Amino acid sequence: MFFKCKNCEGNMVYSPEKKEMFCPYCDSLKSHVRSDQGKDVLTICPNCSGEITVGEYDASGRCPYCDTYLIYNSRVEGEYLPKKIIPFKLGKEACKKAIRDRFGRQKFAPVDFLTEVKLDTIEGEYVPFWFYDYKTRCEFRAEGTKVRSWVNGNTRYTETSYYDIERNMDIPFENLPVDASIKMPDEVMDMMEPYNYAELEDFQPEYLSGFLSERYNMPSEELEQRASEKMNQAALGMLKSSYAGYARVEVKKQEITPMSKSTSYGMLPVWKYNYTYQGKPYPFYVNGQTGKIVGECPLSKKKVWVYSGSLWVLLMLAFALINGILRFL
Amino acid sequence: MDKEIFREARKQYFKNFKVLFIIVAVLLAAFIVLLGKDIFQPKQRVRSNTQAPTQRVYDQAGTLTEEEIARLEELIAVEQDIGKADIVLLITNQEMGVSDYEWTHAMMNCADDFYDNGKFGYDKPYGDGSLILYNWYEDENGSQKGVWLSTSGKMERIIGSYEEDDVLDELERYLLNGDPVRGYSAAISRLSYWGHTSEEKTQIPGLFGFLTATLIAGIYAISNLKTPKAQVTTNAATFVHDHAAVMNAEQDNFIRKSVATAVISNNSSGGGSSRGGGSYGSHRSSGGHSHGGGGRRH
Repeated sequence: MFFKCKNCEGNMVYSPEKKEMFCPYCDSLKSHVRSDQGKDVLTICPNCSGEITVGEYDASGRCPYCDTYLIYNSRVEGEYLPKKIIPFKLGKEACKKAIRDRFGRQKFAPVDFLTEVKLDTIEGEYVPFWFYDYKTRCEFRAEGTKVRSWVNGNTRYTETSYYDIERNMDIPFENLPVDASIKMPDEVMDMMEPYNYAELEDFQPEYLSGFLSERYNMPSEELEQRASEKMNQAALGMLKSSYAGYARVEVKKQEITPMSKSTSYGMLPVWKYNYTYQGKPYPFYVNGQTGKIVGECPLSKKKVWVYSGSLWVLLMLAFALINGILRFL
Repeated sequence: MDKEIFREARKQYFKNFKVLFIIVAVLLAAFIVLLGKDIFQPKQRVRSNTQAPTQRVYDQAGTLTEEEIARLEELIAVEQDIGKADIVLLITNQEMGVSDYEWTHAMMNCADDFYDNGKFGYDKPYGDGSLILYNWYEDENGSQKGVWLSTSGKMERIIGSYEEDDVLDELERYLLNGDPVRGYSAAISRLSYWGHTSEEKTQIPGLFGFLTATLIAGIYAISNLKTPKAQVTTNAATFVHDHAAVMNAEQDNFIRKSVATAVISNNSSGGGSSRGGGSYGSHRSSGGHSHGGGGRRH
């Protein structure tokens, strides 16, 4: 499917700034009509009939001939229908600004790193996520010690008190996200968190128009191990903060048991800037909702030498001129 | 594309060093202006006191020959222009007092008053200069021989105890070995040397400039090699629904306690020493003019 403008027949896309469907050709808002023409043939563009290549997991893409954003019906319906989605909140220009703000002070970044030409290659993409809800029970027993020390005269006293610690806690985890995309690095996706899940909305295919997206690459069962690890880590963290006042803790019992579990499928927005420097890729990911950036800026060795050398020469020149001036004063 | 990248690189380079380029340009402009001014209007400090006599050597003891006096006058004429400070040599043979206290005050007053009465000073009367007084008096009560150095104006500021020792050591080295004229000459040269050091302009030493520039450039390079990295912004409670964890049981039961003691040993030590000393220091002559200096009794 794709979305056409009723007024000019142009391809309408979702605008994060306007939070509406927008026609970039005639500036119309909400004038979209859904076209399901040719929906059964995935490799033919329904707008221009050009032959297109669709990746195994692609849920939406762009026709390389007519630049129409296409949403592949079979990848967003039935078992692949996302239950929820956070629409892009950060537009392309805001994303470029966020990258410029973050790396603008990097003096040794390659010359073209923040140029308009390069930054314009940024693509917005919805990443498939499985969301896990757990009701978790934590049972914990330990012996804890508290140490108190004081001085009286020339004697130092150290008092060690021993306690029997017991905790029983129920933690309701909600929307614990695990990305279901092979091409997205897990550590990067974890670093992008958190999204504000209060802004989760029911899925509508309109949100995908103007962006790339994938359907989930694997079922939720395959990712449960990761979800469970994340849940365990979070539960341990909460337990730990509940007995933070002890100097030393000797654990006797620690059980974290999921009492119930449910999963749902959704999509989260990510801007991706694929920058290549001297043959090496430097991918940057920007949270499409919060603007958090994950990625490492490359360094230009040439710039390091030229800039540092110039600074040295200019300082030496300044000292020489100051000496020259002092001679005449 | 290459041209565009080159243009962008140039833009970034000049933007980065804009402030430093402006500073260097301002310094360069100031240097050129001063250089031009110096070429067309050379600034040279010349003796401006016309009230003092031209004679610099006063041998009231009659210990020097005409020829020696002429040689010393010639030397002083050259050296006082180098040091930009008058140099007067006064040789006496008069009673200055038997006790050290009397001798010191008599020598000091004699030297200061002679300088003031002659209105000596390179820049103005009672101005920059110094006077070497040597007294040859000796009688049956003992020797009242000795030297006194009176300083005035900038020389009062320059000649501290270190410089004073330097001048008097040079004088004694020859005078006590039977060659007073050479002793006077050596002292005159040292006074001229110390006077000249104050005329040298303050400069940033080359090594200091080199090391500072290298250090700053090094710090600049190292501090900019670091690139910002994303931080973890989640915590244990991030995915807890409404942060609503329920604590069913929370018990901290005291079991027992133990107390350990340790004796603190106090060791402290201290000490120090002080040393003092110096020349006679700054004082006022009977004419009300400020003088410095000091002397040695032989």
